[in-house]
Amino acid sequence: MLRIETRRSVALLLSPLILLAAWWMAYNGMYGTMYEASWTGVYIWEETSSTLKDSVLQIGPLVAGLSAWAAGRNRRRGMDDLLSTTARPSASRDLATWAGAALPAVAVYLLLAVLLGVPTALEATWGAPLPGYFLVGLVALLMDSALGLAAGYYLPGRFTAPLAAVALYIAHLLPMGMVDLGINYTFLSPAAYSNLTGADVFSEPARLAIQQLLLFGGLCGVALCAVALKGGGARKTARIALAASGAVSAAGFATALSTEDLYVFPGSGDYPKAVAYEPVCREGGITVCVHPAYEKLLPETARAVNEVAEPLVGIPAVPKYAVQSSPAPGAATGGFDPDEAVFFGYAGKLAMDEVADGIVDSNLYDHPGHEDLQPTQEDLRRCGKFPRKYLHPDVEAQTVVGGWLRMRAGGSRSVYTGECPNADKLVDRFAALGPTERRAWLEKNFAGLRAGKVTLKDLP
Amino acid sequence: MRLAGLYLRSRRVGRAFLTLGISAVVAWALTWFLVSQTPYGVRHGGLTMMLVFGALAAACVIGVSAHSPFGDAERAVARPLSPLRFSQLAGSILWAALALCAALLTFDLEGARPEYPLYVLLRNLAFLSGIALVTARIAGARLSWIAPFVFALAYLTFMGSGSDVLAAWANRSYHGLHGPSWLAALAILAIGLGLVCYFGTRERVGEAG
Repeated sequence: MLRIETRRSVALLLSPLILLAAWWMAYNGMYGTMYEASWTGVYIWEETSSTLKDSVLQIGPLVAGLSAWAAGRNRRRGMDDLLSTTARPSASRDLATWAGAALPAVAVYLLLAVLLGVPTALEATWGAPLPGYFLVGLVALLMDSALGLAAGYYLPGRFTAPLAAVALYIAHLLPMGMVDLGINYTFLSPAAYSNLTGADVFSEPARLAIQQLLLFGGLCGVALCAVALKGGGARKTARIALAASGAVSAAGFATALSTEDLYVFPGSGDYPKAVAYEPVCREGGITVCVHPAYEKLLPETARAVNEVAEPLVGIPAVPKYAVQSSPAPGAATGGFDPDEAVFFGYAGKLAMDEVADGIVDSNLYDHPGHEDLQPTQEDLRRCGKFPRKYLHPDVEAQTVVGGWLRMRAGGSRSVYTGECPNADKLVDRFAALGPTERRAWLEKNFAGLRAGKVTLKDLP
Repeated sequence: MRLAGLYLRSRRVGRAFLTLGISAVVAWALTWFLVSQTPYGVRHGGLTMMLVFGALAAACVIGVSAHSPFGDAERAVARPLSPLRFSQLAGSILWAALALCAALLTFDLEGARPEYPLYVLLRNLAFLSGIALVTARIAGARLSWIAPFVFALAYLTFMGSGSDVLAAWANRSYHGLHGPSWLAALAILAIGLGLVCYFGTRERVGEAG
């Protein structure tokens, strides 16, 4: 029966298309995708595992719709009465119908795991696969399919399949959207707890796999038992299984809700537990260290950093190290002394901007009251809509020298000053100085500049 | 008149209109919930529920409602079916557009061009309905929801990428009255309507599984 159901399943017919779409979206989408691999060529296991899990967001609702559609097949063909006379219990038929829709989706998921996992296994320089993410995605897929089947049985009609798919997609998205509203039920979505801005290799991944497995597995059981109850047959067994599944699901919900390791709200100031790692470094005018996951980008990063820092080499107050650390405010500095190191979040050429700013500002990540630096009316009047913290009176001189360093290294002087034309003019003036004069000024004033004691009036 | 009535009943038009209305109300309720909970108002993706999901649900219902319960037998009738098919589909699209626009207009559409969300909603509805109707001709009306669903998934996957064309379809801040995208949407809708009105929907593939 399973073979027949699978063979005639529309999900099987569509599975190559679904696989192709999921694979393409994994590399080309913006969020919950292979961001690092697409943009930097760096494969990171956490990102691969998240992307695989998040593919449920695309595959799951589609399979739910197809399951709902398969559930209505006997009714559409007018075979309900005929099938009610068969010897075997209807639950076995329903289970086969479910498997016929779910198995091709599972096959797609496994193939996607291979397609994403093989290059990661070959290229990744740090970390390991996260089996919890993989299992959550798999169970969520089965849950979606079972919920679709139940919807098809309980709400028969031509509109059930598409509406079940749309409703499930919204149900998966909504808990994540509610995070921004301060409502933390993110764990209700299988695509939750992934990194929204590329892989975060600096912190421990969320540990909610077991709770989510219980929740989704329980819901899957509830849906299948509901289908079995609708079909008749072993009602007592189905009721017991329904109660047990409901209890498992409720246990998953309750434990997830009480877990302290919940999603950390963006901007809340909290940060997940830092992960231990040994940075990989390359010596030069400034020694550059990156997270081992980004080892592939170390040569490019070292080149970019040293291009920026080249005119400052030999000046005593210049940091000795440039270290990749988490871009989150307040994140750990990996044991490096902030007075001796400049920190950057993104490896590769992107490090250039952050190093140019950080090298001239010792307090960039640790500025007193930095989180409270909201634009004042005066800032808005002078510099437009985006004054940012770099236009704070204490750091304006640093902004000018940082802009010059960036421009000199081939970057844009206007990354942070574009809304403030005066700052651009000052950068040009600083760049127009003779090399000897500029070097002399830097040697004399760099320590003060880095400490935020040099004002715009002190600039040459 | 009687023929038209019977035709509309065979397409479950009453139920389709009811479902379209309920979809608009649900999309409005979700949008209201999201918008009322955030200080950003309708900005920052708060209207996605209406602009994408509302249009998607409507397009799916419109595509599925093109299904004929009589299959090939219907093609043997003496009177032409095209006007009936066109009236039913155009009426459904119009009703969906009215319901969604009415729901959308209850929000305070702030910004320099508050009519942009309306343009985007109507364009998405036209485009997704057109895709659904083309699919109904190719794969059968009952499975016609799959293609618009995949397109909507693509919109949302790319919504954050800013410069991407697909993102522009989901995000009201891009191409509010963008000529080429409107042209594409109307062309797809015209092709879909033309195919289904002239040839009807395909029955075999949709009923295979």
